[in-house]
Amino acid sequence: MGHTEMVLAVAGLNSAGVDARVRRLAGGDWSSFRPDGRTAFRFAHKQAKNPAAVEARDVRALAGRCGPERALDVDWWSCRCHYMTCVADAFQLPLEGTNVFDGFAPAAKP
Amino acid sequence: MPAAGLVRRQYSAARRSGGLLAGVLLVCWCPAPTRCDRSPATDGHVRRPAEIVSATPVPAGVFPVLDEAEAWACLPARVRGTGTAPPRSSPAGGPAVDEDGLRDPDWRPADWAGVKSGMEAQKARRSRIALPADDPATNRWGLVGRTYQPALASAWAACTQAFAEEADQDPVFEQSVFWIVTRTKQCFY
Repeated sequence: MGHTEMVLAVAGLNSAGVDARVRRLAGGDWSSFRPDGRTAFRFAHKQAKNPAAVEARDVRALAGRCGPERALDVDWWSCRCHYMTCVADAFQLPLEGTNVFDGFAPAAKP
Repeated sequence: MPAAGLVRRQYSAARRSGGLLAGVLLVCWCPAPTRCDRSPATDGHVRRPAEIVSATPVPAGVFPVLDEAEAWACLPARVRGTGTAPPRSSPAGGPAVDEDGLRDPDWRPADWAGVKSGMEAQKARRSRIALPADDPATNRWGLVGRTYQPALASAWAACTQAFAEEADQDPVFEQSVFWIVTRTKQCFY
């Protein structure tokens, strides 16, 4: 969780914005998010909790809300997050005390 | 939102600070990471590892140091790619989402203080793996990968960057998904 909040901080959210965003996510009531976001969040949660439980209908729901290519993006990204978390937990990597992503805001699109 | 730009800058930061996003995901694609297909990459879409490889020194005599050509050659042809990413089409309208939120008894939404205290406690956790000397601003996940599996770290970074450029997801959305995964697994890193 620490790294994701660090990246949110350099992705355009200020401290209050990060806190508000995380609180909304942590609350479990995602009704204020867009439908495609909600579906993606639910997919990521299900996959993280029990990957074997992901069914074709979950992917269909994701594709229906996000489009087929974007659904694959979400799926791939969720897998990547899942993997990175496994590595961090397996080695018990201690969270850095400072934002290791600080100072590197997204570049503006041309 | 320019996710690719963010990732590129993260890589640049990691490169300067001695860390790098790294990993072993590509083990699935490359069972023999030190000597794979040596055919050169020919497409110009995916950035070559040299552009994103950290300068972190690897402990002498412990792990083989692979140059960027070797690391790049570990990527199978289908990953090195020859085409361009398809445009992201609009959704056709799928099954209705029957729930707005999450129904998971393990989630405990009210435990906000526990989430914050867990992150603080995580900072003091002792690693199970020897961490290379670093400075406080170094991404330890990347540093570990770069130190112990430099070839895979390069491949991982190349793959991640290619994804970032092709998908170009909103970074706030992207990290929100990441946050949910970490929260689900109680990972405070």
